[in-house]
Amino acid sequence: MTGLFDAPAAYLGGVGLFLSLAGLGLGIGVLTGLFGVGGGFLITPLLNVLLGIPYDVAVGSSLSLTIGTGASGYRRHLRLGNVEEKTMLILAGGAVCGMALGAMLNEFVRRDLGVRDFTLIMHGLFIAILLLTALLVFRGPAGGPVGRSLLQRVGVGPRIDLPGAGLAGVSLPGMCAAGLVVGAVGGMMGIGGGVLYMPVLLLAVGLSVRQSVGTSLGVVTFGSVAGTVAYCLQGKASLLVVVALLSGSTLGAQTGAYLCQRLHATRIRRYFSLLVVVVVVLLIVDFIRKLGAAH
Amino acid sequence: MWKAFEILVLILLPLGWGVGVEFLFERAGRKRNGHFGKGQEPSPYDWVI
Repeated sequence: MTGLFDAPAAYLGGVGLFLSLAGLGLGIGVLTGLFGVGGGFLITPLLNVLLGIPYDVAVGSSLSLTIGTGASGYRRHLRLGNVEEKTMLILAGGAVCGMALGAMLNEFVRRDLGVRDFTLIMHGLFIAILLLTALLVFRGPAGGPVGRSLLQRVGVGPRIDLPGAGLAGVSLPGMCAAGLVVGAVGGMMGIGGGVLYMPVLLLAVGLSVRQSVGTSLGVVTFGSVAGTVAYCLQGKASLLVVVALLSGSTLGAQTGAYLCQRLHATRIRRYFSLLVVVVVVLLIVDFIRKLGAAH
Repeated sequence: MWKAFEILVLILLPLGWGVGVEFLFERAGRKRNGHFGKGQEPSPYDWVI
């Protein structure tokens, strides 16, 4: 498999690959410092498109990195009292199972369809999720539901109360299913799934924006641990990739923090949306190129 | 045995990095729009993770 700039991982020597990965980590680190995001949703496709790292290895390694960014955010929100712990534990249970399921799904699709079709499907999924991210970031997260939330109205019991959020009669199977589905998508794509948990927590469960953010980070952290274990057991999480990305991003995070001091929040949001669109364009170009090569 | 070690490293390394970097930023007292900087204020983009 070759990357967009014809720099296939297989042809790069050990040092060359490490430096390329560290360079990518540097860029992702700048984003971490500048925007405060984990970058898993950018790392996975960029590892494939720019460096030609197979998606299954990129997914496993990206989930490992998400543990760090998720945990640091979770710690901060926990301290601020932004985590609805009961919701977090229930969704995390679903997410852990979902991540294992997603890892199996990833393996199944890759084996069943072959590497090229699997790559095209993953490109398509990332294009969809990145466009959704760009839209949500540009507009800012929506508020919670008016009146009863979706999982309070759904007719599947048993029901539980969430006193931390002031909610009563929330469907327990509905919460487990939400965690499972988003976890499976995250496990398949190698993303924490925060961008998907937000609408679930805001609109389906009915948490406030602050609680949704904190609770989502907890779910992402536990889910990512499960995903990392699942991919590592399949031999698909690369320690080299993780170490190289981390070493680059340590430097990048400080540069991003420096830049962040000098930019207005609104401008940062627009730059972020623009960056996501650029990655989408890269993916579309690579998608068309691979599609052309398939015929 | 090696696999168990690999799993532990793949979990603990990013975990230590994430929490450690945030701690260092906080200690440095950087004033930023969110995330590590202000220490008390979460990032407006945390939900994107």
